[in-house]
Amino acid sequence: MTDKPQTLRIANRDFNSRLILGTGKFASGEIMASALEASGAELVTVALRRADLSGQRDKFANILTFIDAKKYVLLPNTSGARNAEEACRLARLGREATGSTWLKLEIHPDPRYLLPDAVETLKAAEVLVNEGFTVLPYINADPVLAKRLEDAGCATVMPLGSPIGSARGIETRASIEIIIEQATVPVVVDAGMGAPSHAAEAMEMGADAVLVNTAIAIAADPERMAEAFKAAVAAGRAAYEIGLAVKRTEAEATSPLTGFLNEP
Amino acid sequence: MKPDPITITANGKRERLDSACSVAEFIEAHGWKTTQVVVERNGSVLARNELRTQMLADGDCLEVIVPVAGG
Repeated sequence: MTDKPQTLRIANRDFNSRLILGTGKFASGEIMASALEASGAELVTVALRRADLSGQRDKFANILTFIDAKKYVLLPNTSGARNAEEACRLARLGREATGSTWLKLEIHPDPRYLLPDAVETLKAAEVLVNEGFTVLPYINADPVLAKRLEDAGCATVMPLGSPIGSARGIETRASIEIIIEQATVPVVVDAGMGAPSHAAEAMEMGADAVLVNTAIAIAADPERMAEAFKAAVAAGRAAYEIGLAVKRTEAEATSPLTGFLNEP
Repeated sequence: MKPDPITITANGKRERLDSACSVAEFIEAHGWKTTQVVVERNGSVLARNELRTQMLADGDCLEVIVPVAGG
Protein backbone atom coordinates (compact mmCIF):
# COMPACT_ATOMS: atom_id res chain seq x y z
CA MET A 1 0.00 0.00 0.00
CA THR A 2 1.23 3.45 -0.83
CA ASP A 3 0.30 6.40 1.32
CA LYS A 4 -0.38 9.70 -0.38
CA PRO A 5 2.17 12.45 0.20
CA GLN A 6 1.15 14.74 3.04
CA THR A 7 0.10 18.23 2.05
CA LEU A 8 1.81 21.29 3.47
CA ARG A 9 -0.42 23.54 5.55
CA ILE A 10 0.71 27.10 6.18
CA ALA A 11 -1.69 29.28 8.15
CA ASN A 12 -5.07 28.09 6.84
CA ARG A 13 -3.91 27.10 3.37
CA ASP A 14 -2.92 23.74 1.90
CA PHE A 15 -0.15 23.33 -0.64
CA ASN A 16 0.72 20.26 -2.68
CA SER A 17 4.20 21.58 -3.42
CA ARG A 18 6.89 21.93 -0.79
CA LEU A 19 9.10 24.03 -3.04
CA ILE A 20 8.74 27.80 -2.74
CA LEU A 21 10.28 29.77 -5.59
CA GLY A 22 11.96 33.17 -5.54
CA THR A 23 11.64 35.19 -8.74
CA GLY A 24 14.92 37.15 -8.57
CA LYS A 25 17.86 36.96 -10.96
CA PHE A 26 16.15 35.26 -13.91
CA ALA A 27 17.29 36.53 -17.31
CA SER A 28 13.73 37.45 -18.26
CA GLY A 29 10.17 37.35 -17.01
CA GLU A 30 9.36 34.64 -19.55
CA ILE A 31 12.18 32.40 -18.34
CA MET A 32 11.06 32.93 -14.75
CA ALA A 33 7.49 32.00 -15.70
CA SER A 34 8.56 28.76 -17.40
CA ALA A 35 10.74 27.79 -14.42
CA LEU A 36 7.90 28.60 -12.05
CA GLU A 37 5.57 26.32 -14.00
CA ALA A 38 8.17 23.54 -14.09
CA SER A 39 8.92 23.84 -10.38
CA GLY A 40 5.35 23.06 -9.38
CA ALA A 41 5.67 25.79 -6.74
CA GLU A 42 2.46 27.38 -5.51
CA LEU A 43 3.99 30.06 -3.33
CA VAL A 44 6.21 32.64 -4.99
CA THR A 45 8.14 35.64 -3.73
CA VAL A 46 8.39 39.12 -5.21
CA ALA A 47 10.22 42.22 -4.02
CA LEU A 48 9.32 45.90 -3.95
CA ARG A 49 11.46 48.75 -5.18
CA ARG A 50 11.11 52.40 -5.98
CA ALA A 51 9.58 52.91 -9.42
CA ASP A 52 11.85 54.56 -11.96
CA LEU A 53 10.33 58.01 -12.36
CA SER A 54 12.81 59.08 -15.05
CA GLY A 55 10.62 57.62 -17.79
CA GLN A 56 13.09 54.82 -18.53
CA ARG A 57 11.64 51.70 -16.97
CA ASP A 58 13.61 48.68 -15.99
CA LYS A 59 12.80 45.42 -17.75
CA PHE A 60 11.35 43.76 -14.67
CA ALA A 61 8.93 46.55 -13.93
CA ASN A 62 5.92 44.31 -14.49
CA ILE A 63 6.89 41.11 -12.68
CA LEU A 64 3.27 40.50 -11.64
CA THR A 65 2.26 40.17 -15.30
CA PHE A 66 4.33 36.97 -15.39
CA ILE A 67 2.63 35.41 -12.36
CA ASP A 68 -0.96 34.18 -12.55
CA ALA A 69 -2.43 35.45 -9.29
CA LYS A 70 -5.18 32.80 -9.44
CA LYS A 71 -2.66 30.00 -9.55
CA TYR A 72 0.00 31.21 -7.13
CA VAL A 73 0.03 32.71 -3.66
CA LEU A 74 2.14 35.84 -3.81
CA LEU A 75 4.67 36.32 -1.07
CA PRO A 76 5.98 39.89 -1.22
CA ASN A 77 9.24 40.26 0.68
CA THR A 78 10.69 43.11 2.69
CA SER A 79 14.18 42.90 1.21
CA GLY A 80 15.96 46.22 1.37
CA ALA A 81 14.56 46.97 4.84
CA ARG A 82 17.32 47.79 7.32
CA ASN A 83 15.13 47.80 10.41
CA ALA A 84 11.66 46.89 11.72
CA GLU A 85 10.15 50.23 10.79
CA GLU A 86 11.20 49.98 7.14
CA ALA A 87 10.07 46.36 7.01
CA CYS A 88 6.62 47.33 8.28
CA ARG A 89 6.35 50.08 5.66
CA LEU A 90 7.37 47.67 2.90
CA ALA A 91 4.92 45.07 4.20
CA ARG A 92 2.01 47.51 3.95
CA LEU A 93 3.11 48.63 0.48
CA GLY A 94 3.46 45.00 -0.60
CA ARG A 95 -0.04 44.18 0.60
CA GLU A 96 -1.47 47.08 -1.39
CA ALA A 97 0.61 46.24 -4.47
CA THR A 98 -0.14 42.52 -4.60
CA GLY A 99 -3.41 42.17 -2.72
CA SER A 100 -1.71 39.44 -0.66
CA THR A 101 -1.51 39.53 3.12
CA TRP A 102 1.24 36.90 3.02
CA LEU A 103 4.67 38.28 3.73
CA LYS A 104 8.25 37.10 3.68
CA LEU A 105 9.72 39.17 6.47
CA GLU A 106 13.43 39.71 5.91
CA ILE A 107 15.64 42.33 7.49
CA HIS A 108 19.31 42.07 6.63
CA PRO A 109 21.15 45.37 6.89
CA ASP A 110 24.60 44.00 6.03
CA PRO A 111 24.97 43.58 2.23
CA ARG A 112 28.05 41.36 2.45
CA TYR A 113 26.52 38.34 4.17
CA LEU A 114 22.84 39.37 4.12
CA LEU A 115 22.41 37.77 7.53
CA PRO A 116 19.07 38.55 9.16
CA ASP A 117 18.78 40.94 12.11
CA ALA A 118 17.06 38.89 14.80
CA VAL A 119 16.06 41.79 17.05
CA GLU A 120 14.47 43.86 14.30
CA THR A 121 12.79 40.79 12.76
CA LEU A 122 11.05 39.89 16.02
CA LYS A 123 10.01 43.51 16.56
CA ALA A 124 8.52 43.75 13.05
CA ALA A 125 6.84 40.32 13.31
CA GLU A 126 4.98 41.35 16.47
CA VAL A 127 3.61 44.47 14.76
CA LEU A 128 2.72 42.79 11.46
CA VAL A 129 1.00 39.75 12.95
CA ASN A 130 -1.21 42.18 14.87
CA GLU A 131 -2.01 43.96 11.61
CA GLY A 132 -3.30 40.71 10.14
CA PHE A 133 -0.35 39.68 7.99
CA THR A 134 0.55 36.02 7.48
CA VAL A 135 4.21 36.39 8.40
CA LEU A 136 6.94 34.01 7.17
CA PRO A 137 10.15 35.31 8.72
CA TYR A 138 13.61 34.68 7.27
CA ILE A 139 15.95 34.02 10.18
CA ASN A 140 19.30 32.68 11.15
CA ALA A 141 19.07 29.09 12.35
CA ASP A 142 18.43 30.12 15.96
CA PRO A 143 16.07 27.75 17.81
CA VAL A 144 15.31 30.28 20.55
CA LEU A 145 14.42 32.99 18.06
CA ALA A 146 12.32 30.52 16.08
CA LYS A 147 10.29 29.80 19.22
CA ARG A 148 9.88 33.51 19.97
CA LEU A 149 8.60 34.16 16.43
CA GLU A 150 6.23 31.23 16.66
CA ASP A 151 4.91 32.60 19.96
CA ALA A 152 4.46 35.98 18.26
CA GLY A 153 2.09 34.32 15.80
CA CYS A 154 4.27 33.80 12.73
CA ALA A 155 2.90 31.29 10.22
CA THR A 156 6.25 29.60 9.65
CA VAL A 157 9.89 30.03 10.53
CA MET A 158 12.41 30.14 7.69
CA PRO A 159 15.94 29.42 8.91
CA LEU A 160 18.81 29.80 6.48
CA GLY A 161 20.94 26.87 5.39
CA SER A 162 23.78 29.20 4.42
CA PRO A 163 23.94 32.83 3.22
CA ILE A 164 21.60 33.95 0.42
CA GLY A 165 22.91 33.01 -3.02
CA SER A 166 25.97 31.22 -1.57
CA ALA A 167 25.02 27.75 -2.88
CA ARG A 168 26.76 26.18 0.13
CA GLY A 169 23.82 24.07 1.24
CA ILE A 170 22.91 23.31 4.85
CA GLU A 171 25.74 24.52 7.05
CA THR A 172 23.40 25.06 9.98
CA ARG A 173 22.22 21.47 10.20
CA ALA A 174 22.45 20.94 13.97
CA SER A 175 20.46 24.10 14.73
CA ILE A 176 17.87 23.42 12.05
CA GLU A 177 17.35 19.94 13.54
CA ILE A 178 16.52 21.55 16.89
CA ILE A 179 14.19 24.05 15.22
CA ILE A 180 12.35 21.22 13.43
CA GLU A 181 12.10 19.18 16.62
CA GLN A 182 10.60 22.07 18.58
CA ALA A 183 8.45 23.82 15.98
CA THR A 184 4.67 23.71 15.92
CA VAL A 185 4.58 25.80 12.71
CA PRO A 186 6.08 24.70 9.38
CA VAL A 187 9.85 25.05 9.04
CA VAL A 188 11.02 26.31 5.65
CA VAL A 189 14.73 26.09 4.92
CA ASP A 190 15.48 29.27 3.03
CA ALA A 191 18.69 30.41 1.40
CA GLY A 192 21.87 28.70 0.31
CA MET A 193 20.24 25.74 -1.47
CA GLY A 194 22.72 25.42 -4.32
CA ALA A 195 21.90 21.91 -5.51
CA PRO A 196 18.87 19.62 -5.57
CA SER A 197 20.71 17.38 -3.08
CA HIS A 198 20.71 20.26 -0.58
CA ALA A 199 16.95 20.58 -0.93
CA ALA A 200 16.54 16.82 -0.57
CA GLU A 201 18.69 16.88 2.56
CA ALA A 202 16.49 19.55 4.12
CA MET A 203 13.39 17.52 3.37
CA GLU A 204 14.91 14.27 4.69
CA MET A 205 15.70 16.13 7.93
CA GLY A 206 12.00 16.87 8.29
CA ALA A 207 11.83 20.43 7.03
CA ASP A 208 8.33 21.20 5.77
CA ALA A 209 9.47 23.11 2.67
CA VAL A 210 12.42 24.82 1.04
CA LEU A 211 12.69 28.20 -0.63
CA VAL A 212 14.97 28.28 -3.68
CA ASN A 213 15.87 31.11 -6.02
CA THR A 214 19.45 31.63 -7.21
CA ALA A 215 20.31 28.00 -8.02
CA ILE A 216 17.36 27.80 -10.39
CA ALA A 217 17.45 31.36 -11.71
CA ILE A 218 21.09 31.39 -12.78
CA ALA A 219 21.21 27.81 -14.10
CA ALA A 220 22.00 27.40 -17.79
CA ASP A 221 18.53 25.86 -18.15
CA PRO A 222 16.33 27.25 -15.36
CA GLU A 223 13.26 25.28 -16.40
CA ARG A 224 15.10 21.96 -16.21
CA MET A 225 16.81 22.90 -12.96
CA ALA A 226 13.38 23.76 -11.53
CA GLU A 227 12.26 20.24 -12.45
CA ALA A 228 15.37 18.82 -10.77
CA PHE A 229 14.62 20.70 -7.54
CA LYS A 230 10.98 19.63 -7.70
CA ALA A 231 12.02 15.98 -7.96
CA ALA A 232 14.57 16.35 -5.15
CA VAL A 233 12.06 17.96 -2.80
CA ALA A 234 9.51 15.23 -3.52
CA ALA A 235 12.12 12.49 -3.02
CA GLY A 236 13.43 13.95 0.22
CA ARG A 237 9.96 14.43 1.61
CA ALA A 238 8.85 10.91 0.67
CA ALA A 239 11.92 9.48 2.39
CA TYR A 240 11.17 11.49 5.53
CA GLU A 241 7.53 10.42 5.62
CA ILE A 242 8.47 6.77 5.11
CA GLY A 243 11.36 6.91 7.60
CA LEU A 244 15.05 6.64 6.78
CA ALA A 245 17.26 3.68 7.66
CA VAL A 246 18.97 3.94 11.03
CA LYS A 247 22.72 4.65 10.87
CA ARG A 248 24.90 1.88 12.30
CA THR A 249 28.52 1.70 13.27
CA GLU A 250 29.05 -1.81 11.92
CA ALA A 251 28.04 -3.42 8.67
CA GLU A 252 24.90 -5.47 8.41
CA ALA A 253 25.00 -7.99 5.59
CA THR A 254 22.36 -7.85 2.93
CA SER A 255 23.11 -11.36 1.61
CA PRO A 256 22.62 -14.50 3.74
CA LEU A 257 25.51 -15.31 6.08
CA THR A 258 25.04 -19.08 5.69
CA GLY A 259 25.81 -21.63 2.99
CA PHE A 260 29.31 -20.37 2.17
CA LEU A 261 31.54 -22.59 0.00
CA ASN A 262 34.10 -23.13 2.74
CA GLU A 263 31.62 -24.17 5.44
CA PRO A 264 32.31 -27.63 7.00
CA MET B 1 -5.00 83.88 -10.88
CA LYS B 2 -2.01 81.68 -11.63
CA PRO B 3 -1.81 78.58 -9.37
CA ASP B 4 1.08 78.45 -6.92
CA PRO B 5 3.93 76.05 -7.70
CA ILE B 6 4.69 73.37 -5.12
CA THR B 7 7.78 71.33 -4.28
CA ILE B 8 7.48 67.68 -3.32
CA THR B 9 9.93 64.84 -2.75
CA ALA B 10 9.28 61.70 -4.80
CA ASN B 11 11.46 58.61 -4.33
CA GLY B 12 14.08 60.72 -2.59
CA LYS B 13 14.29 63.42 -5.26
CA ARG B 14 12.90 66.93 -4.90
CA GLU B 15 10.65 68.00 -7.73
CA ARG B 16 8.96 71.31 -8.47
CA LEU B 17 5.46 71.18 -9.91
CA ASP B 18 3.86 74.20 -11.58
CA SER B 19 0.68 73.57 -9.67
CA ALA B 20 -0.83 71.04 -7.36
CA CYS B 21 -2.12 67.90 -9.08
CA SER B 22 -3.55 64.59 -7.92
CA VAL B 23 -1.25 61.72 -7.01
CA ALA B 24 -2.59 59.82 -10.04
CA GLU B 25 -1.75 62.69 -12.39
CA PHE B 26 1.76 62.86 -10.99
CA ILE B 27 2.29 59.10 -11.52
CA GLU B 28 0.91 59.20 -15.06
CA ALA B 29 3.12 62.17 -15.92
CA HIS B 30 6.07 59.93 -15.02
CA GLY B 31 5.06 57.10 -17.33
CA TRP B 32 3.20 54.77 -14.97
CA LYS B 33 -0.38 53.60 -14.76
CA THR B 34 -1.99 53.83 -11.35
CA THR B 35 -2.64 50.10 -11.47
CA GLN B 36 1.09 49.35 -11.74
CA VAL B 37 2.36 51.13 -8.67
CA VAL B 38 1.61 51.60 -5.01
CA VAL B 39 2.16 54.90 -3.27
CA GLU B 40 3.11 55.92 0.24
CA ARG B 41 2.37 59.57 1.03
CA ASN B 42 4.01 61.07 4.10
CA GLY B 43 4.41 57.61 5.63
CA SER B 44 0.92 56.25 4.92
CA VAL B 45 0.06 53.83 2.13
CA LEU B 46 -2.64 55.14 -0.19
CA ALA B 47 -5.38 52.82 -1.38
CA ARG B 48 -5.64 52.64 -5.17
CA ASN B 49 -8.95 54.47 -5.21
CA GLU B 50 -7.42 57.37 -3.29
CA LEU B 51 -4.78 58.13 -5.91
CA ARG B 52 -7.12 60.23 -8.03
CA THR B 53 -8.78 62.06 -5.16
CA GLN B 54 -5.67 62.94 -3.14
CA MET B 55 -4.14 66.27 -4.20
CA LEU B 56 -0.44 66.82 -3.69
CA ALA B 57 0.55 69.62 -1.34
CA ASP B 58 3.76 71.59 -0.91
CA GLY B 59 6.32 69.57 1.09
CA ASP B 60 4.71 66.18 0.45
CA CYS B 61 6.96 63.14 0.51
CA LEU B 62 6.02 60.30 -1.84
CA GLU B 63 7.34 56.80 -2.27
CA VAL B 64 6.21 55.32 -5.58
CA ILE B 65 6.82 51.60 -5.42
CA VAL B 66 6.56 48.79 -7.94
CA PRO B 67 6.70 45.00 -7.48
CA VAL B 68 9.88 43.57 -8.99
CA ALA B 69 11.51 40.18 -9.25
CA GLY B 70 13.09 39.11 -5.99
CA GLY B 71 13.64 36.22 -3.63
